[in-house]
Formats: sequence, structure tokens, C-alpha cells
Amino acid sequence: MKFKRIISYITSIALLLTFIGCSEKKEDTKVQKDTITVIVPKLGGKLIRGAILEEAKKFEEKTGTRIRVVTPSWIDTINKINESLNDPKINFDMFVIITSWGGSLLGENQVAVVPDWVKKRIDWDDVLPVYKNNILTWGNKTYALPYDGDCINLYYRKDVFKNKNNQKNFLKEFGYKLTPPKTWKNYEDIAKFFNGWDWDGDGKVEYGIAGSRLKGYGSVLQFFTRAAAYAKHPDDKAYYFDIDTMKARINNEGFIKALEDYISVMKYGPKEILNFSPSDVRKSFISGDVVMAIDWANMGTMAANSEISVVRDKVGYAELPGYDKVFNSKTNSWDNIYNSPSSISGNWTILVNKNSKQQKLAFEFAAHMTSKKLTSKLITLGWTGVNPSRYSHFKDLSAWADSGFSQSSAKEYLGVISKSLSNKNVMIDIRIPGSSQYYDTLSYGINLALKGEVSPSEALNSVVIKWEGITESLNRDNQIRLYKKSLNK
Amino acid sequence: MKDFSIRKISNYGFFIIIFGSVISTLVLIVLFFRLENIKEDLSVIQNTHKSFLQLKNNTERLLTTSDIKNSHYLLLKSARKFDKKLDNLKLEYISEIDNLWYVCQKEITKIDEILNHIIFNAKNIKDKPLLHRRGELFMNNSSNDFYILLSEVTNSIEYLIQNETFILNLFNDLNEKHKLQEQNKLKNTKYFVLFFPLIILTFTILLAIFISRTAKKIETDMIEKEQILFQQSKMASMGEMIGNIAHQWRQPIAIISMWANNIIADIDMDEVENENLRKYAININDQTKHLSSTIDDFRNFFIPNKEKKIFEIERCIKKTMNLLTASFNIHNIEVITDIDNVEVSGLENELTQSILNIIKNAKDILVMLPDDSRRLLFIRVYKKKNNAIVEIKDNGGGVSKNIINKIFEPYFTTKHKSQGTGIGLYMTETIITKHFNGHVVVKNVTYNYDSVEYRGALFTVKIPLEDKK
Repeated sequence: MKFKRIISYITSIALLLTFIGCSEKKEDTKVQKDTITVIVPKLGGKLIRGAILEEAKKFEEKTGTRIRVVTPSWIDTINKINESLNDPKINFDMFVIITSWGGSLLGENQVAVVPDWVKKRIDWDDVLPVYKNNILTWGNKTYALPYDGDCINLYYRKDVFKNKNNQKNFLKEFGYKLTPPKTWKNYEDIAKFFNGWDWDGDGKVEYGIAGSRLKGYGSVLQFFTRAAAYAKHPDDKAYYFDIDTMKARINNEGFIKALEDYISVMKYGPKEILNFSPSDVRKSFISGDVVMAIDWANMGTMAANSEISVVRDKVGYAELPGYDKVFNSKTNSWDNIYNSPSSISGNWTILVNKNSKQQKLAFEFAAHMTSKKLTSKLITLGWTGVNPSRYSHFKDLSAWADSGFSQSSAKEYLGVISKSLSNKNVMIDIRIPGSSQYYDTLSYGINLALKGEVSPSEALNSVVIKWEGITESLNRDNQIRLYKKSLNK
Repeated sequence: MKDFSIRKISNYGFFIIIFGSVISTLVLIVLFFRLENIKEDLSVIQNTHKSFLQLKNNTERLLTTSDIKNSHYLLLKSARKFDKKLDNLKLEYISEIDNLWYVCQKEITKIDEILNHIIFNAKNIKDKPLLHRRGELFMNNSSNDFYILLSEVTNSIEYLIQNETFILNLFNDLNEKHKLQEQNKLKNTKYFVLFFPLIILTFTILLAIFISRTAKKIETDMIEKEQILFQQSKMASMGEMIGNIAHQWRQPIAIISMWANNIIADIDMDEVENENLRKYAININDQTKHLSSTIDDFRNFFIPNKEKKIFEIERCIKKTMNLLTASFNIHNIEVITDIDNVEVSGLENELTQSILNIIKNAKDILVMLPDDSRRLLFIRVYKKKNNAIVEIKDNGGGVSKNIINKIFEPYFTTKHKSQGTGIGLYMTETIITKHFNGHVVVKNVTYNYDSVEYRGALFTVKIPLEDKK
């Protein structure tokens, strides 16, 4: 019996060896590692995507996974996201998107709710409430992670403003002191004053302003930022639509006046201003070509630490100009109150696809990208396009000093951002399904107006017709419900 | 038992060696075919990879070339070629590339549409690379639409390049993996070619050692067992012999007692004469010598011989008869002997024991015959063709056909437990075959004696005689 047992052991070993010899290991045929695809648009330079590309490599090395980062153009990004929602062969696991694009994803229920372990990992309590309440939540649930905390402000040449001759001449021409503009009218006056002459003595002609006017989101968001002073009533959370009817407001008197002024001021900018994207605006300002620019917080860091910057320590920061009256959509008339809302338009947030097969990995990478430690480093580097979004980002001045800011400049820069973020009248982006369509049609209409092919009112009236069509096609009642949800109402 | 175990071990060992050889051959064949498959796969992958590299080069060139029309054509051509090549790839690889290629195809379609439009309006290109022309148009507000269009196509090309890079990475991984796979398989095959025969060889050696050890152990066990059996057999004989001694001694003791009584009677009757006393004493002395001789016979039988010697078979027969005479007398067994002077070499007591066992066996059968039957035992010793032959025949009726082939097996007995151990004839067979190199057979015979026909068992012991030269 013992011998039989030995024989059976030997036979088993021989068979095992045979199977091992003949077996084809499963993993041999598996080509790829655990992989996620991240979509992030290509902006100017390495903005937003640059840090993600760099960190993806480090993350891959650390975890043995593969992070594919695709960077379509700004215009293509949301189209590709929308396309992926209807095409099972196109998959993105993680979306790095501007706030407004989230509307399509959230409305279509395509985004995973941020789990508690991720919130814990990214120190959720450190995130500023203005972003938590207006940007990262939808229907009072958290769907987005705070990569970039955006806030649009005014940047001006402090050194040029302080110049006594300039002050004297400005006072003489406009009858008031040259200070950072309090209203958009002041803004245009200053632009006019500094346009077309060599005010810094470098032998080149300089201009009054630089602004994003290239057909696309950047220009549209800038337009809405400006229009907020004219049409974002402090007593009304809704801005683009009537909250109860979804009737578009963008052709009311406030918006038309805003667009007129938005076009009017272009004549005080460089001749190629129509082709300016936000990154071109930054380049123009930090190269010393213009005296003022409206931009996200990126402008501050780029001015401080970009290699091409000639304006280090010459930049002043101010809240957005206001308007001396505001259009009240409810009464359909102007209210004579000074209105100066802030704009947190264009925040870059990270969302994870609800249907991702690698959802955990996607959240791991998202948590890495939005961690307190990493974002604290990224906000001080102009090329990243990442701006403060946390309490802690405003506390450590030494990090800002290391990145090229002087102590006083950093203090001033953070002070203005902080002030803007504490403004109770805040303009946020459209965050409902169809947002890309709303923005695209407006972009098209504004472009026509900018080129002078149609008047501002004609442009906005035609856009409203299209917006109504979009709302109808997406089901007006549903859009009303989702618009309210997007405002956390 | 011994033969069976070794046979079994040998059979299994042989089976394993054959089995191992077949398996190793099969594995080698499978490994060989697998290697061939991997090489084939690798070749297909490399061809597809090459085709893809052409496509990627064409895509990248599209951004920097002035000859947009030609590059556009080459891009579409290489995309079609790659698409066809992709069909040859195994499904498992395609599934990983397929989605990325799907995205690329969509982008190529978009680029194709825009480029067709741009080429149609060739004046806008002015034989300059797309990126260059876009840069020029940036500075010109009046060409805003065409700037946007150029931006769109260059962005699409860049997006296409990104996705192509992912595919390229997959190809690199595939190549790497396949090369690694091929190396591993080659290594495995090499190891297997060396390792499996080594296992078979090792196993064969181990098997040989195992068989040798087992055989030795079995031999030792057998010797021990035989010794035990010898001892058991002797002990069994001893019991019987004690009975025989009792019978042998009864008569001399009675005679001694009688002469002793005569002495006592002469004394009592005051007729003591020296001559009578001398006669009595001589008679008593004779009887005690006889008793002593009987004891010697028994003692010699039980003392094991250590050295081989040449002895006459007759001595063994006589010794046996001395031991059994009393018993034979009691049971009226007639012993008819015909003994030639034949000498053999070996241990005398062992042959005595062997013959004793056969005779005892015959006696046990004969005592079962009815009282009025003659009980005959024939013992014949003679020489035939340089063999000593001992024939022992009885008239007990013979051995049943059913058991005649088993009577030399150990522990086989037809007797009651109290009578037989079943090892007597086994011992006889063992002694004759192993120690005297002879053999012992049994058969039933019918014969005439005193004009009467009898039937009984005939045991024939054949012992080869040593060459006296």
C-alpha cells in the first residue's frame, strides 16, 4: 500500500510537471497594467494638464499602474466627454474639467460620489466653503475634488499706476485719480489712457488691456465675469436663467450693455486680441505689453515666476471692477446700486466616472492630484494654472516667497483673492446638462459680435433663441429641476 | 510474498519510467509548438507594429511638412494599411488596442474632413507647414475663422498623436512581453530537456536502490522467518518426541522395574545369589544404556548442526525411526525399508528433520485408517543419475486433488489445530530446495503389496550428489 502511495505521488508530480510545462500562464497574455484614462484639455503652455502629466508618471512608477492622459483642445474636450457618454468604445475614467462641463456629466448621472476615504485623504475640512458649496457639490452631494480654486481678479501695473506723470495726466484727462478701477467704466478709461504709447520706456508701443476674445470657453467665461457686474443681482442666486422657467436672461439689458462694453474695450488692446486665449492674455501682460488684464489667479503666479516675466514685483491686484447699477431680471429694470460680484468661474475640478472599471485607482490618482500637500506646491507655480482653494493655501507665505513673490506682493495677492472669495455675491458657471451647448452657441454668437458681423443685441437675441431650443430639447422641466439642483436649491 | 513484492516494484518502476518518457516527449512537443506559435505571434506583432510606426510618422509629419496634400494622402493610406494588419492580430491583443484605434480612426476622419477643406482652399496654406501657418494667422484678426480651423486640425493631429503614442506603448509592451515569453519558454524548454531526463534517471537510480534494499530486507525477513519456522517446527516436533520418548522409555523402565523387583523378591525370600544379582544388574545396566542411547538420539536431533558434512542418508532414516518406533508400534504401522548406501553433503539434522516431517505426515494419515486395515509405510533410498532419491510412500489413500498443490505452502494444514502447525512440509521443501539444492514432490500412487492393491501418497526427495572429484 505504501508503495502504491509513492507511485501515485510520483505520477502526480510527473503530471503536475507536465501541466506546468504545457500550461499557458494567463498573465502572459495580459498586455497592459491597471490603466486609467484621464481627460484634461490642452490649454496654453502646461496649464492644468502639465502637473497632471508630471504627476501621472510619478504615480505610475510608484504604483505600477498606467495613467493615460489625453489632452484634446479646449473646444474638443467637452465634445469628447459627451461623445464618450454615448459610445461604449470611448472611456474616460477621470475627468479634469472646468466647472461648467460637470453639468453634462452630473445631469446624466455619470459621476461617482466622492467617498469618505477620499475626503479624509485630501483633508476635506481644509477646503474653502465657497468652493465646497458652489463648485464641488451638486444637489448637496459631493461629486468633485478641488484641483484648482479659481477666482477672477484684476491685475495691473502698479509701477505704472504709481508714476506721478501718469497720475497727473490721467487726472487731467479724466477728472479723477488714477487708482485700480472700481467700475468697468474706470477700467475702460484707464485702458484708453495707456493705449498706444510707450509708457514703460522700453522703446515699444504698449496697450491698455489684454483680454481673452478667441472663440471658445475662455472668452465666454470672461464675458460672463464682466457681465456679472451688470446682471448678477445680489439678491438673486440665478444668473443665466430664470430659476422657475429656465427662460434665458442673457439678452436682457444688463447682458447687452456688458457685451457692448466687452467689445468696446478691445480697441485698447493689441491688434491680435481677437485671437487671444487666456494664456495669450497672460503672456501679453507678463511681457509688459499691457497695463491691465482680467484673469484667473494664474496671472499672479506667472508674473512672479515665469521665465518670460518682466513684471515681477510690479503687479498690483484688485477685485473685479463693478458697475454703478445692476439689472434686476425679476423687475426687468435697473437697480441703482453699486454691484461688484466676484467670479469663481472656470474652476478646474476632478470627477471620477461612475462607470469606470478602475474607479478605485481613479479616485487614488484624483486624491493624489488634489491633496493638500501637492496643491500647496502647485499653487505657487505659475505654469501649473492651479490656484488656491484651501485655507492652508493662504497661510504659508514662505511657500509663495520661494516661488518668486515678495512677501508684500504675496500678501497683497492672497489678500485680494481672499476678499473676492468672501464676496457673498458670487458668479458661478452653468452646471447643468447641455452646458457645453449653451456655452458653444454663446461663444459663436459673441464671436460674431466681436468680429462686428452682428450687433451685441442681435448676437444675444439669436443666442437666446438657440438656448431656448436647447432647453426644450433637453426637457425644460428637467432642466429647471437640475438648474435648481446645481445651485443647491 | 518476496517474489510478488519485487515483481510489483519492478512493474511500477518500469511503468513510471515509460510514463515519464512519454510525458516528457509530449511536453517537449507541446513546448516546441508553443515556441513556434510565439514566434509566429511575434512576427505578426512586429509587422503590425512596423505598419503602425509608418502611420505615426505620417501623422507627425503632417504638422511640420509643407507638402500637406501628399502627407494627407500618406496618412490615409497608412491608416488603411494598419487597419488591415490589425485584423491579423490575435483577438486578445486587438481588444486592448481596438478602443484606442477606434478613437484614432475617428480623429483621422475629422482631420481628413478639415484637411480636404483646407487643401481645397490652398491659398490659405501657401506651401507652409500647418503649425507655421497657424502662427502667422494668430497675428491677423481678419483671418480669425481660418485660424480657428487650423487650430482645430492641429489640435486634432496632436490628439491623434497622443492616442497613437498609447498604441505605440502597447506595441512596445507587446513586443517586450512576447520576447520575454519566448525567452521564458526557451528557458523552460531548456530546463525541461535537462531536468526531466534527470528526474527519470534519478528515479531509476532511486528505484534500483529501493529494489535492492527491499530485496535484501525481504531476504533477511525470510531468513528470520525461516529460523522462526524452524524453531516452531522443532518445538512442534519436540512435543511429539516427548510422547515418543515416553513410549520408548516405558518398556526399559518396566524391565528395570522388573529386575529391581526380582532383587527385592530374592532379598525378601533370602535367596540372594551373587550370580543372580549380577545378572539383574547387567540387565538393568543394559536397559539404562538403552535409555541413555534414546536420550542421545533425541538430544542429537535437537542440537543444531553448524557445519556441513558428508553423511549417509540411512543414518537419517534410522534416527527418524528411532524417534518414531514406539509410536509406530502403538499404531501398528508397518515400516518396509529398502535403503541403499547413499551419501549426501549437508546438515544431517536438517535432512533428518525433513524426512521426519514427511514420515510424521504419513503416520498422521495412517493412524486415521480403520483398525482392521494394514498401515504401511515404505521408505526407499537409492541413487539415480548422480542424485540421491528418497521415496516415502504410504497407503493412506493419497492427497486430495484440491490441496495437492498447496501442501508445501506455509501454514497449510488439513489437520486440527491441536495436531498440525502447517509448517512441517513447508520446512521440508525449504530445507531440500534451499539447503540441499534438491527438490521434493508429492503425487498419488496406486501399487500392489502382498498381492493387495493400495493407494497412497508418494513423496520423492531428490538431492543432487556432490562431485567427488
